[in-house]
Amino acid sequence: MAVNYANYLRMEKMPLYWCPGCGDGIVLRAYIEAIDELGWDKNDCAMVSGIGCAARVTGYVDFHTLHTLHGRAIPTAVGVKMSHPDKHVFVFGGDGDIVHIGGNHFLHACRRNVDITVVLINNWIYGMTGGQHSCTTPSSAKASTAPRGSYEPTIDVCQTAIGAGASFVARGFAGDPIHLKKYIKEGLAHHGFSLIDVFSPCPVNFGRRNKLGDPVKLMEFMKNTLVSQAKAKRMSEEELEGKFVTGILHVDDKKPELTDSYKELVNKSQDSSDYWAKYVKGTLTDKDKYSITREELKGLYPYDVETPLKEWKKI
Amino acid sequence: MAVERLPVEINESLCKACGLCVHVCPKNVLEMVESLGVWMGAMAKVARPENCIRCKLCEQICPDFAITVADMGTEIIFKDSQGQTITKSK
Repeated sequence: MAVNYANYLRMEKMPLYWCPGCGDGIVLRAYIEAIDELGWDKNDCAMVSGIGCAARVTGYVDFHTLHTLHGRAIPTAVGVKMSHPDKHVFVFGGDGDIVHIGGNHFLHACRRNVDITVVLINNWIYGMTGGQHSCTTPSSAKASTAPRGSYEPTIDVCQTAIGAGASFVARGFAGDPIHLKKYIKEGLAHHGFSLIDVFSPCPVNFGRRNKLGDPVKLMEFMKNTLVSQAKAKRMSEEELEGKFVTGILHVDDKKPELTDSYKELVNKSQDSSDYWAKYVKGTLTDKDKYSITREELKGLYPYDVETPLKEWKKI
Repeated sequence: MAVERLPVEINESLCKACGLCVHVCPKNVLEMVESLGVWMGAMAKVARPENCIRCKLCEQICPDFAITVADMGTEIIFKDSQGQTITKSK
């Protein structure tokens, strides 16, 4: 059955603000279909995003949404998740937003293994801010801040996330929405930090400067840099140079999840006979509050305390 | 119960004429037509609706939620490219 998109979108905000041929809309559609297949209530979902083209998704979806500072989408999402562990929290963002500016937060969210789903739209450029080159711009590709071609080495986001300890890592492609939907669905259902790195074309800011301005042409160019997991097994390392492997790259179900371990810690400390555990439960006695009795205190204190107090009370 | 609609319908207020649907269609149903009334100067049109196999590739690839394809199993009546009314059941 067809998905009723009007259920999940703020239709009064349509048409979408993205340029013709941008892959963000394809990812949004795959995402809504994945949530519809999982059957989640939209009031249980929260979406957080930073600044950028992809981050404008929060304006169009009808979940609880938060639009935060540039690069700071993940720490906000972690905060939302820690206060509401039973809700579903998602982060949408571009490569410049999540990896380049918010790279620090990204690494530590991977390390902590919080149960949030990050959909990273990797278009090889800072799209909204004017086509500056980012950490994923391929070398010798032109950008507005690299008019003679980018000379910096690039970062492989999926390998970084696996190294930092993320428990679900997949790479999809906006030109292949059927597989993309499958990856997003599995990432959402996974208990733990899940990253879906989606290659998506940016025909205006990336393609136009690199003679790939036609959306179809750029889609084909991007497709040629991607190889499937099955194909990559049969290729040598020299052939894989400059190629990106798509598919579910890493799943780790054994790593403890942050909200679970936090809950465990809270339960453990509340069961103990600590001062604060008794304080929370309201079972504090005088013996816990004072380590010395009133009579003992009188013996220790050299001055007469009772008489001046009585005099003061009279006044 | 047959529904009176085309197998592929394009919402022209949402379409931005990127050409991805024309590229992915395996049966050459869609076509880019010059249209000076819209901002992009072109518009995707359903040129040969009788060829549609309802694979939904165009619906999946459309970045602007502009295309809707009839579900498998619904009977539809529409006018084909020659102007004849035909019924398709599947």
